[in-house]
Amino acid sequence: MRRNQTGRYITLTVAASIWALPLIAMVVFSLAPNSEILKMSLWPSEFTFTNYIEVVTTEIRGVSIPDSLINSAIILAVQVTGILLLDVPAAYVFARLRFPGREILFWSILVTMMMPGLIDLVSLYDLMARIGLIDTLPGIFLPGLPRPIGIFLLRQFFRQLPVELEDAAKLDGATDFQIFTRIMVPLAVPAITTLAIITSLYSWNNFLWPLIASNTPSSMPVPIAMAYLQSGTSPAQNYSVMLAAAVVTSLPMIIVFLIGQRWIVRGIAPASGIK
Amino acid sequence: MRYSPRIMPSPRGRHGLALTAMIATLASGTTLSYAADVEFWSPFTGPDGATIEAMVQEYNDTRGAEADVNVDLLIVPWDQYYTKLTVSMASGTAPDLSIAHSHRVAGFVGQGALTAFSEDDLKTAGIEGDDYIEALWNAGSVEGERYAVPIDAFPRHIYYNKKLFEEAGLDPEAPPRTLQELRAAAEAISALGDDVYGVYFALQGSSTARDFYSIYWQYTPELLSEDQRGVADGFEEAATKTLTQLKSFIDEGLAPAQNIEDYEGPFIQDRIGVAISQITELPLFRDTEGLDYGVSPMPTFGDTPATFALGHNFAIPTGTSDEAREAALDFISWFSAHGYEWAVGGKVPAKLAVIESDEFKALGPQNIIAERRDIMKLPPIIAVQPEIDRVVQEHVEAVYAGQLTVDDAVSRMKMAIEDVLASQ
Amino acid sequence: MSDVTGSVGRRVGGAVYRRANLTLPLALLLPYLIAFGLFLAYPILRALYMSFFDWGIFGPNEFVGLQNYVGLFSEGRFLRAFWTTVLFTALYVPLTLVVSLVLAVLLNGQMPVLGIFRTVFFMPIVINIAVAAIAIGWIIDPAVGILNRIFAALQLPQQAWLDHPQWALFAISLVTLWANAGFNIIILLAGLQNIPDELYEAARIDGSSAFQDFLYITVPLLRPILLLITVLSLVLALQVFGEVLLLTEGGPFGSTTVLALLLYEEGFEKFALGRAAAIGVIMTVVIAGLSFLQFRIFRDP
Repeated sequence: MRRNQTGRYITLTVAASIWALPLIAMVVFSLAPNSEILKMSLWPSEFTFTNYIEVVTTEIRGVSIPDSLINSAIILAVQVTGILLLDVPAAYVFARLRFPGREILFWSILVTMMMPGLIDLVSLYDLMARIGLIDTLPGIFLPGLPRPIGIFLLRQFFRQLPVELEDAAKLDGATDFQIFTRIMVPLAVPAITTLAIITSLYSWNNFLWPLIASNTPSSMPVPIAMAYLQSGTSPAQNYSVMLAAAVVTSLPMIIVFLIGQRWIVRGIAPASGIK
Repeated sequence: MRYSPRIMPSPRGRHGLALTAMIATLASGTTLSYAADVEFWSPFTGPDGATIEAMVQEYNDTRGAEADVNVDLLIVPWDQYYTKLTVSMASGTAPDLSIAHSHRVAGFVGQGALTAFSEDDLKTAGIEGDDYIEALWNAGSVEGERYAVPIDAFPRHIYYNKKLFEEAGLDPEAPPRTLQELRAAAEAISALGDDVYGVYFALQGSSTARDFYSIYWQYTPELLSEDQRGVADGFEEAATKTLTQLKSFIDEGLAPAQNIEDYEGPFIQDRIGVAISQITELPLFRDTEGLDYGVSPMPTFGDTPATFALGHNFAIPTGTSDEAREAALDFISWFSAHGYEWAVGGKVPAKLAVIESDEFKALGPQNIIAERRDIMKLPPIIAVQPEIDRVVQEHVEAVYAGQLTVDDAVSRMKMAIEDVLASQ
Repeated sequence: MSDVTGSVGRRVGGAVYRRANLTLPLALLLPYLIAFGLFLAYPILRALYMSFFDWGIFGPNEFVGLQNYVGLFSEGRFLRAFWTTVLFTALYVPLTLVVSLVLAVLLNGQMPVLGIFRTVFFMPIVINIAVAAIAIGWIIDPAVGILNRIFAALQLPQQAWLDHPQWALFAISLVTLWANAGFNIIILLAGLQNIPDELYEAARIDGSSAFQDFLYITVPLLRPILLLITVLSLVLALQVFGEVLLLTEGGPFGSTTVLALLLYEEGFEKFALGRAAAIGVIMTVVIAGLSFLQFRIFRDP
């Protein structure tokens, strides 16, 4: 016996319409000439692709969206790979391998998540400047590697794996390392996938650090290039191009997310304490 | 990694260069060879960015080639500019040459972030105070030492829509010069339609403080007291009058009650009669076809004509090598002499010789504003001026929004400014 | 095949602890620790160190001990920012909890159309803060924004949404909700899927209404997740920065100046790095303290 679902779907439709409005409006008006922006109509009277063409072809002093897409892609690839390589083993240690001071170390790492992200930017810049990495791609992606969220997520995941698995493996004579590589990691694939997706989102959208750490197109990721191209142009002149740029730069992550959507739920579930 | 900048041709073509080249050779005097690179950061973007790029390229090709100086320009968009500049100073990676707004210089000097120009430096480069607009030159000196060489000024003034003036029965060649004239014009124009406003001035943002200062200084010459521990004696009276008058435009429906972020749109669409703004906006209006506009100095509300002005300056961050500094000075002096090219983009050049040149005088709007350079006033040269500006801005915004009465705002402003000064 | 670690297993709690041999743990942990030490721990510790100094562009000007902290607490601007942050958090956390929970419950299920709905609610977490600001800005711009166009079409007066000090903070909390609720919904959905259908069926047989199901089955079983979300939202709200910077820059008459924004201004605009660091430390203590308290008070007995 199904309960009447109409109320549910009406609520969802209304809520979803409101929720989707900003992004839909952005997309709709990005496909219209800038003159539509200044008119007070609810829907553009004409449509055009020129904004998108401009986004893809505009280049100011070497800064262009296509170039920055390449930078962002490199940064993302390195950060996702790096974070997985660093976090998976570390999380396993925190979950399963004991050593003195383990808990204190774990909580110290976790407490950094409670700090405002701005607190260390100047010191970080100072450090990177001394190493000579300002305005380089490594300078952008390196500081993002030790993010604690991965440790947290994966540790939770490892902790709720049945101990029997390890016991059985030990009986078969497996080393700790073999247990890790042959059993734990494969089992952790859902959580690892989730982490990869979350990290991708972070990497692509990261704004504040790259803003400070990149000066020239050689190291500018997408959000910074977009900000660069926007500044000094009057919004009255090309708001619609700005909307188009916003769409273009969000597209890759939208696609990543749509593909990876169902993995995220699977990966997060154990971390939130559900068995 | 070097990228190749896209260079836009100078709008005035070659004949302008010949003239400026002559002035340049007269001004620069010696032909030293520096063999140095100058890393130069500037915040100019958009058309200004293209102009400065072109000028840097020109210098490198001509004078720079002679003197063996290469200026390496990096454009850092202005909203990140000071953040990046200061962070780079903090980590010892500051550029050799930078731009600084007049009201920022004192703050940097207070932190030890700028290197002073010595008398010899200036003499070698042929830079003399008398050659520049006095107010701008003075703003670059902190505690008797020179830290900044002025490039230009951008005072507050008005743009007015000649078409609306005609429609309202006003003389399009007679822009308002006093409060009464402004009022009359605003009333006539506002009467033209529901969404037509006689006057526009920013209700939010840094312009609110600047417009406030413009009018305030027409009533009393100083913002701060002699000892800079509090506000000047005439503060309350002048501030009250200023705010009351500005607010009345809003209350009477002569100016929009809601802030318009980009007033250029409505101005171009003939919906704003008189806009209080600054000369840097010029290129947009100039390049819009079919727009019939005029430019005029800030109307005088009070007893003496005055207007707020800020300027861009060259400044040398601490840590610049001596070679780079000397080379930078060569570039600075060349740039000053070529002030005309820079002024085309909507500036009042700091160098008097440029202002008095024929070609500059032929630039209508810039010349009109430059002629009244005597009324330009810059904010006090103290390190905490940006904070005082913020205080003023917040309170003026609140008055416009109806959140505070004028009297409340004035008394709170006074206290807040005193707090800022006390915190030094 | 001999086991290099030579373990003696002891079963304690739910995990197996192996004693003493540190080679493997160290090897697995070291890469992360190096990155952590260099790029996270060092800058943070340095910031902590800086908080005890009057620190300018070029380094420490003088040691001031607790002066920065004391000075902040006696300064109107800081106290105001503190209050604004608390207010924002008090607005945001219950709001996001309720909205996320209700939406998650409504979105829970296998029907394909629900999948489409879910995607709609997830979308804002995929875009970056600058894009979100553009999208939202486009809606609420007083002059040309969509919302005011709708209002104009409905003959309602035009509003300047972010211009009223009383409402600006609330508006920002709505925007923050829009941008972040997706995460909470994901977590909640994961939890909801783990509640056995039998419980609902049994309740239905007893004549329970949907609302009663929600109140007596769903919510209690979701407790640990709700706690997690509350803490995460709390941490987010206390640190909110991007939305404020891009939408109001501290807002009409300082009404949206939150602590993170103050930190930014002190650090990056005035370059008073010592004070900025002190603000950061204070924030950390508050955030960590509140989180810890919450876990203590609300965890399952």
